Amino acid sequence: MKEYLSKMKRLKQEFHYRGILSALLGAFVYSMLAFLPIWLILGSITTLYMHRLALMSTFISLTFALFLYVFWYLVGLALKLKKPDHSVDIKYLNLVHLLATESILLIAVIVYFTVIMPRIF
Amino acid sequence: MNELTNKFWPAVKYLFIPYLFLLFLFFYPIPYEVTAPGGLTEVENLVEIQNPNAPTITGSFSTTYVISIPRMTFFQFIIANFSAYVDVNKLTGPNVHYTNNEIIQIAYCDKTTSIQAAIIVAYEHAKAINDDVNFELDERVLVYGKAQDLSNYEQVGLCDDFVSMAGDQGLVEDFSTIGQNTTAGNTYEFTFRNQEGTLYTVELLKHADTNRFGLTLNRVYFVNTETILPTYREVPSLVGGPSGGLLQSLHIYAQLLDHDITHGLKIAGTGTIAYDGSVGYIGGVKQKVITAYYNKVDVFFIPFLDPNYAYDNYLEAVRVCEELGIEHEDWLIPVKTFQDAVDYLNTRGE
Repeated sequence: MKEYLSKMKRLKQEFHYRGILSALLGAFVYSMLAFLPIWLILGSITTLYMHRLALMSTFISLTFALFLYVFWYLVGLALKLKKPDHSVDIKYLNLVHLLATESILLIAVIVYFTVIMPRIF
Repeated sequence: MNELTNKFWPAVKYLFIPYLFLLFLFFYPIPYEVTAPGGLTEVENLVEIQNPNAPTITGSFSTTYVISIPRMTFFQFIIANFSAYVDVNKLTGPNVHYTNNEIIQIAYCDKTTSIQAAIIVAYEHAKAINDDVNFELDERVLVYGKAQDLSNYEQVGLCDDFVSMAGDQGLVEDFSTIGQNTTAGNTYEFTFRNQEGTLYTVELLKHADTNRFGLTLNRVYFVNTETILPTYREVPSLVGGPSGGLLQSLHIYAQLLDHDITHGLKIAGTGTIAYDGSVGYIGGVKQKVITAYYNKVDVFFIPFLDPNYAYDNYLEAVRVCEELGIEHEDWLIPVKTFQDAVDYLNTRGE
């Protein structure tokens, strides 16, 4: 945790809030551009395959996991392109962020499969 | 952001037009209706009967819903062609001019009146064997349809109550006498009550060429919530349509008895219910059978009115089962009335 916080501090010093926010925004826009058609395809298929909802939900969950991976990869790429001679361990920070967001996604998926899906559908 | 744009722009600019085309495929609606397999809704999630003496129900009653999209997209149209379970039909009848929102409103209206019919049938049957059951009926007249030529179309709400109209010979409250109290070519004041309980008045023209207003009114019965015993609570849900009537009445009936009629079975089915307990035909038989099969139900009730009819729900269901290799003996149970279903469940307990 200490290591993470000190690396985050250095990231802020080196890129400032503006640079970090710009990288996050860029990564979000381009990963959304890539994944929106995938979600629309899966969403449309799901409406016709509701009797296979669990299977389709699994596919959609996997694409969300992949989306997070692409998002954090693009955040790293944007930061590297912004400052090629940076000294912060961006790879380490992105790995921590990826694991944290994937864990949140996993909890959301478990709640969906055990609570929401049986009640609504 | 700029760094990524500089890096990806050469590729993104070529993908722009295919991307727009893709969005067109996903969002542009076409006048075709799709019916696809859906899922089961346990009736206890739709209606709760507050009966302290209700038996412990070991099984369950579920209605079967299908996915019905009135105006599908091009992409859904393409995908539908790859599935043997999905039916695609050109939109016909009144649905052609209704918006998707209006079709949904009618479906919810159907569900509401279907639950009321289910309560009436179940309480009526239970009353014969349970003295604690009591109910009274309120008659209502609801707006069930609007033709395209209805004047002031937007002002009349679907599923609103017809209250009265100012006819040629005075106030008309009985909707069946509207015809004899109006003259073609004249405009009349109609009073309705919306679903929030507010009264509103709309002027409607009786068209000279068609001799009609373009309004479909239906007489329906609702149980009086003040006097009904045991009381009940309708739970809001996303499912619409009248096809759950039979299963809803079975679930409600089971709550009013002193013994469990489910015998631990997962019971599903389909069929509308009329106030006299007769079961009516439904659409989407193929998709409902597939849904029930995938959800591993033990018993599936389906309307079987007359083998001599050119079309019958049960006969179609049998054909679907044979086509898909589903064993339907003792699984697909044909019923003509509510009593048929109750009798079948009683024989399962013997």
